[in-house]
Amino acid sequence: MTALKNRTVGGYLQVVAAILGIAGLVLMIINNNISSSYSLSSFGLLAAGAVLGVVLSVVAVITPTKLGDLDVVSTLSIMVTVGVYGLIIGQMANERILMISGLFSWNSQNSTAWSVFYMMIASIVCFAVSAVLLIVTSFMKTVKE
Amino acid sequence: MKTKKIMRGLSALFAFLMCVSIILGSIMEGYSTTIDSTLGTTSSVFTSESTDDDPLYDKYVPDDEYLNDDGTGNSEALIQAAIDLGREEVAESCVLLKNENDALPLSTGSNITLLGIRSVASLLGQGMGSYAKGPYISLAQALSENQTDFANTIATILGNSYTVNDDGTMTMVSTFTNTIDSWSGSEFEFDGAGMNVNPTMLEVYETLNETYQHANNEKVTEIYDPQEPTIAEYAEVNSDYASSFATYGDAAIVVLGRPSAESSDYTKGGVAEGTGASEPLELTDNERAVLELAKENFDTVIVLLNTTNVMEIGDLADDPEIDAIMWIGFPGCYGMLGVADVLCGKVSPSGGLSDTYATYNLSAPATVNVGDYTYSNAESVITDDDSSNYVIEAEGIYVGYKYYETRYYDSVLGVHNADSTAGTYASEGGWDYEAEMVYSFGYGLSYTTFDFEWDGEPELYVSIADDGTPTATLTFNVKVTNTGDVAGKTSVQVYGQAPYIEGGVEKSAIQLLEYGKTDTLEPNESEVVSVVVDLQNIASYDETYDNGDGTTGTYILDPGTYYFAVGNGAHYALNNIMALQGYTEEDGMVGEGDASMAYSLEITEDVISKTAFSISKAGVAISNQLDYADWNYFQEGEVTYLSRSDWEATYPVEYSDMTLTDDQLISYLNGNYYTMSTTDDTSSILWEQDNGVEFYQMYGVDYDDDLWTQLLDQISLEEAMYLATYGGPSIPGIDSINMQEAYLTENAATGIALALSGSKDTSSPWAISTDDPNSAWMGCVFAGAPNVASSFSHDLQYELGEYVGVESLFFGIPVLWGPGLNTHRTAYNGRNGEYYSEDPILTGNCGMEFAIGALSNGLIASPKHFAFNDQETNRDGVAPYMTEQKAREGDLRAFQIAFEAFKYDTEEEDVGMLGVMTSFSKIGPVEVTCSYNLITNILNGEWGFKGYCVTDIYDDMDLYTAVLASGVTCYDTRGMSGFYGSVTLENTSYFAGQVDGNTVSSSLIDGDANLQESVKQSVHQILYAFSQSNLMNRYNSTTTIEQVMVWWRVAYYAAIGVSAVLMVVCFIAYLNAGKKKEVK
Repeated sequence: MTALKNRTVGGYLQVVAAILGIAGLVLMIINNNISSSYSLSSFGLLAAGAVLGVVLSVVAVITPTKLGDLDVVSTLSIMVTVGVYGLIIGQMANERILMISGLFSWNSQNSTAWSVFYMMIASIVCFAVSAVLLIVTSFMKTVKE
Repeated sequence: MKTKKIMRGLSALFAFLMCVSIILGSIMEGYSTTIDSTLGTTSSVFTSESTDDDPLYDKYVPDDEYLNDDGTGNSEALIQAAIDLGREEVAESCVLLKNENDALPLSTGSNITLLGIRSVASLLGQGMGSYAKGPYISLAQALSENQTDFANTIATILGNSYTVNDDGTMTMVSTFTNTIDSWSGSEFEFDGAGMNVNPTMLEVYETLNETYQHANNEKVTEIYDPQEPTIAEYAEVNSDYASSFATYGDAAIVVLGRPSAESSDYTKGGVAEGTGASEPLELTDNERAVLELAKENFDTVIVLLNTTNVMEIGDLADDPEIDAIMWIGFPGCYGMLGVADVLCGKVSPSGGLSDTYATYNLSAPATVNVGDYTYSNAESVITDDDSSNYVIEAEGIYVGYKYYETRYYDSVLGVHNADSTAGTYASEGGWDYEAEMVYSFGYGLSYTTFDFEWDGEPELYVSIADDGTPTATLTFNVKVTNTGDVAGKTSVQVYGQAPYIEGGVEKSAIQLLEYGKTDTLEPNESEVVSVVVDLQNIASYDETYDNGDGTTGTYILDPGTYYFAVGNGAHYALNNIMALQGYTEEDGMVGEGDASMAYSLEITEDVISKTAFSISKAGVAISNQLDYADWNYFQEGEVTYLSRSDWEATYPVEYSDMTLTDDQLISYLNGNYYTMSTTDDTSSILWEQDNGVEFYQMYGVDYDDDLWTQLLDQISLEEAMYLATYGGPSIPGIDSINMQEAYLTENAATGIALALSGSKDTSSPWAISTDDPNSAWMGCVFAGAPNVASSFSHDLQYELGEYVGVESLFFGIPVLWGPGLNTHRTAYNGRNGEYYSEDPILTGNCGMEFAIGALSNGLIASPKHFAFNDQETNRDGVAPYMTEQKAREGDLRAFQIAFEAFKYDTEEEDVGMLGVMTSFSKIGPVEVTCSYNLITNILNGEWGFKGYCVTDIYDDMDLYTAVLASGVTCYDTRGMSGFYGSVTLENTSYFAGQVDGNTVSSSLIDGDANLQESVKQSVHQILYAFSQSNLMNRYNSTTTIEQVMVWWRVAYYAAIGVSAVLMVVCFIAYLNAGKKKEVK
């Protein structure tokens, strides 16, 4: 709880970013399990990346209270997290490109694929917003001095 | 502090951008060929050195007419040839159904009015699948102009978008867009029909279409509304529109249409409320209002049917105020010139219907079971995503005219309860052919008349080879004389009737066997047309026949009297046979018969053995392979198939609630077809041998030549798996034999669906550059498949294939995914516009001629969808259940004719097709792609197919455990490229979920000898097909492929580099800012 005290707006946004990362991970797991036909071939890697991102975003929340604002550990954590989230977003989209192109052309009647598509969009939005929040907050103070 | 914050933020920002750039770059490389096609870039090129000893581009060369003097491509000549062929195609395929009061042809100089919004927004191609793209010639232009206006006449396509209403519901909004952005290329002169077209009504419809948004390529919707504007709306555009009728009053031409498209069907009762129609193919109130307007204001009313799905026009046929009806199908980009040629009499119509026009489409027994059916217990027993839907094809062999004419025959004979009320729609009381039928299959009128007579006795030829392979033909020499006043062509359709034995094998009372066509005959001119009938086509498949070797089922010719006849379509041919059998109109015949145009032949064992056709042309004994197609095979007695032995008792009922109880049936539906081994001894299967053979050496090498063994042994298992997996459009390279990754396949049979500037072989001397003024021209410009069929012209069907082969040389595409060879099971199939006909003989011949014509220019036409793609509804895995007889004598007979290409076989060469695409559907409960019996035993075995066999797009990704074991050679992996790098077996998400839980990798089949052999066989077939194609134009010993630094590649490289550098710089600045603070 100490980590949540004495936080600025930026600090609270970092917490939101971490929560969004967790939400993105959960949605990605659901997305992977909607249908065996639409499981993600690199799911293990993606999940590991997402867990790493979530852990590091939590680290980025905690360390400023101990090491001071704008510390190197939180900075590196944020850099790695946004990078990983960028890769996850791209890879998820990459794995779904063919499915999406089918949905908007020859395969528009595939309700399972539409479910996968919507879940993927939700997951990507969570990761993307989380990354944006982390980037924005890295320009800001996160703890009160 | 401020600097540190900024640098920290920028570090994070550039870290994000760098990673996004990296992943984007990876994605772009994985889809580089798709990006190239979209953006018009060339990211890789073949680089080879041509020498006298080792020349390039010498194997397949476009005819001189398509080349400039220096050997470069002449785009204008290519387009002019397409215009000429497209015109001829439609002029020969228009079917004149009614012509009273000499309404047609119209005189040159006539003043005419076009009515109906389809007169302006005509349907030229399909809304999805076989499009007609690029600039086109409209009906009005063809009738009244002499030069194209391509710059302002570009074919449109309908796109759907959705808007959310206030109540949360969604409304679909359809808007049309041009199929190409613009046209600034050549315009072409043509000799139009010389008529004057009412400009007022053209303007009215063009204005209305700004609201209605009708396109030239439209989709089918489950609840269909043709959206013909009301007459009142005409006045809103131009209150004085009616006054123009007086000036342009020689005739009204009313155009009525229905679209066709991939992915959805018309549905029973699926018509929008308020249209006044109860079925989607019935005329609506607004369409009838247009007809009334025409009848009220014009003495001559002509109706053009702009559709490939049978519309219900029975009342128009009987309406004395409708003078003429002509079917024009989907005429493609230039076919309106052909329509105009027929309307003005430059060409006398010579087409015949490729589908039956019944009074009501629902009177066909196949329509009883069509659409969306789900097993009642699917949720509890089905685990496969695409296995819950089915359709019971209870009509048996009685599809289209085979139902109507057989029932008609039996009703005249007064047998088999043919005149019961079962299946009646238009009849009053018992079933009445005259009421139920409008125009039968093959029917068509001309502006002239022809006499037909046998030119000598038909010639029977029977030969049985040492291995039992039969050849049995009956050649009819038919003398055709033009007895009318104008020149014209006519088809010579030969039909047959096999003796039906009560309670025996089902047999249609009439079936098309073969056809020919005259040249243009001047009045009083005669020509003898030879029509060679392959008697295999009148053989019946008897599923119960005991072959005496432990197997059951084969083709039989029951001994007895066989009848043959020519006639204007199936009905008149049958009438001729009935006349020979002694029946007359007094017996209840509808129309007259001419016994002199029928012929009978006693077939006994000493003429042709009953089981002569139990051996295929490839020398393989034929027996039941698809017994699991029959529902009753699993759950006996639950389905009754239509039998002419009792029309009333066996007329189909709707099977809408089938319950799965049989374990094997459920297991098949859940995709359990093959158990992979991990412990086989595979040491005898050779890979990675050093034999020194390269791919370029294989051109023209026979399939069984030892050189293939050497080549195949040289490839690694991993390379083989890549080739057997990624079936195109981009095909992986194989380093060990110096074969390069390339974009090799494309869609459509109405021409190749690419722009001239998008050649996939930019190194060829005739490739059209982006600087060429005509580089935006697209190859898919020809009429729909039903038009090709209705021409009943082998020559024309071959010419189309030949021309598309020329296109393939310009586009650098050696493999075409088409044409479609499924038969029209019902009028409701949304995709009928892409398939030729309801008749398998006509379908098969069209496909054969197209494919052999294409192959003359090195293009491998790969017919689709093998097989049983009988409806678009639930097409991802729908299970059609049928008898093996229906399967063999329906869809499969069409494919068989095409694949055997018997007509082109010589003693020296067994000509056949080199490509095929499988169907999404199942056959019975088994995926077509996983059916060893269908793919290996029938296609490869009985028919002797050796070639590229690709799945439909991303179909059945149960990769190695099912599909390749069946004999399918590879997957349609549209969009993927950059193999071994960006795209690998391991990271292709479509292959992630295998039924048996295995993960796909290059080591997956290390312990399964059968699968390794299957993969080797796949590679053999694929490479053999390619080695016979125009791909070999670009191969010699020096061939390599080079990556080109196109702008998008530069862009992502730069984005990665810049963001990486800035990230590092900013991070260092961030650290330094911290240090400065500490120092301070």
